[in-house]
Amino acid sequence: MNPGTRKGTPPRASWALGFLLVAAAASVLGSVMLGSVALPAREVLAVFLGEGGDLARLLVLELRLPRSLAAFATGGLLAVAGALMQVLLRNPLADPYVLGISGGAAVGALLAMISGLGLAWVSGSAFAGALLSTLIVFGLAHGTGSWTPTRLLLTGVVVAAGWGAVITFLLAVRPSPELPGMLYWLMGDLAHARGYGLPWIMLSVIVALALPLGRSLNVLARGPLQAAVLGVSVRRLEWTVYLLAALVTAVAVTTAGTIGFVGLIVPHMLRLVIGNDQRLLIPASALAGGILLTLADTLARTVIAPEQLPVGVITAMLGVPVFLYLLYRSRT
Amino acid sequence: MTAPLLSLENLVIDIPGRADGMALDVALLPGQCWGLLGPNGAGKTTLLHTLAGLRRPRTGRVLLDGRDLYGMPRRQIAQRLGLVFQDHHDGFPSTVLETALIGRHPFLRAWNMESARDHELAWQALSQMDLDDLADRQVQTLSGGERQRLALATLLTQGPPLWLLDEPTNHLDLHHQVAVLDLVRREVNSRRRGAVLALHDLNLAVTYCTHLILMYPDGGMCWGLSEEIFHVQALEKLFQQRLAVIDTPDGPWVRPVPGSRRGSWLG
Repeated sequence: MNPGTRKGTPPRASWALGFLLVAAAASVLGSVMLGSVALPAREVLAVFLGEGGDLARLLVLELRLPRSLAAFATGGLLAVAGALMQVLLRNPLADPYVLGISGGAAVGALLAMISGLGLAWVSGSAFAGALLSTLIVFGLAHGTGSWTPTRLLLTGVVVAAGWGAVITFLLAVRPSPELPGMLYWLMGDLAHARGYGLPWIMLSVIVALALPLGRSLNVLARGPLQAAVLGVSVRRLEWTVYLLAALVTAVAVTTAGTIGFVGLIVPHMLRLVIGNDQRLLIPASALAGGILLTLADTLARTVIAPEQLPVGVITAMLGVPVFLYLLYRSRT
Repeated sequence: MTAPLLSLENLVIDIPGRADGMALDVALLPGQCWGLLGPNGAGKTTLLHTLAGLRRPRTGRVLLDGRDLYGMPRRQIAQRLGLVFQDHHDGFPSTVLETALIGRHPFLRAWNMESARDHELAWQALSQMDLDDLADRQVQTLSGGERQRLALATLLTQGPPLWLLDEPTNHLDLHHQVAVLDLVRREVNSRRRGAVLALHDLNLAVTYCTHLILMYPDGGMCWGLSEEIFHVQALEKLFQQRLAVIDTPDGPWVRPVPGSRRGSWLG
């Protein structure tokens, strides 16, 4: 092997990102084509170019495209949140849903909605809930000793169950037709997706941060002491990642409810193919998470049409086996 | 007179539940290699971590290039000293080359990718550690000795003037033990680096170190030039073990007398 040929971005990285970009466009296009009335690609493209019939325009621009874009951004955010938490905990089982962070965000958002506050308050309150949940789970799991995967997961699962109970309680005492229902808060449901502007902005920001933060995260993945010796201010970096993961989770939850397991499946699959360089893994997770959730949501609204499944059902069906496999493999 | 790379002033390391013992006053000059000797639990690792700024001392201070270590940003510390840990934790998959390359982290800006020069340094380090054939291997598949050599290759890639090594010969076969210590001595002598090594092998310590620090479990310390410190009575007391001394043309050689463990530091 000649050292001179190995420099800069490995070609594998460009190939992976290029492939994912094409697949991302294809997944969004496919999800816009499929539905109660199937639209051929030609017609969808015509609508994008400002032509096409009224029905096609309505279906594409008013109904399907906003939902697809919301699904894509939410999936990307959840996958990135998972990837960040996994570095923080040096554990591939970390995921915002499993660890109860999504549940905290859901309770925050629901409380703000019940109080009749505006969208900015809903997002802020969701962020506060996600952060509170992060502090509870990580604080308790840390305790005096070091993190063990079992202790962390148990804490997260129990806290998540607690948030589930709080959500059920809130919806029982304040039933309201204006609020998204139980399924949205406990399983995630893109039928109630609320706008795609904020999640897309958040997704762009987090991917832009991946490059400058990525190498420090690579070093942090090797343990806090090793990272400190190689010049990382570990405390500061860990807090940055806690805040970013909570923020990203909160935006995903306010967009589409608590969808589980995307943050678990996507980084795991990608690591097998492209390795664990966060500078590549985070942008790739954003794309692959988006693709996964777009496809899952398309399946969710077509598989038993005219009825719709909440998308969380599909991601859980994929995620639970992956989770069990990782847990089984991590036994030492 | 050359300025010391590292000065320990009135330093007492913080081991919970232990009396202060004796404070260390040591100036480590370029070209010196200090060996830490002592039984398990005497605080060798704690001292190394304190010198790397990873934990605070109970009293006293450490000056790195004349500046207070505990006020320096981690990045500046990492440009001046490196530490090889006793244990290595590899949470996620990573290749041998990637692991060596992280040694460049303290020298790169946030937006920089590793340059051709960084790759060249990593390859040189791998080849010095006999690891160039394994560059694409996953770290988890390495043997204990190969992993230990990789940790040294990461330090070589980092290339700081001060090396802190926690039992660098752990897991290594005899050939690689000598190779690693030869490398440390060569780097210290010819490139005017400084090194602090925790070691268990008394004979290797006196062969390779210019200075020694004997660390007793009760906090007692004893330090100085190797040939002045390497006394059989002091070593017997240190390890609670009778030793036989064999005089060789290269200096004294010690070996434990079987079945002669005295008392115990364990209580």
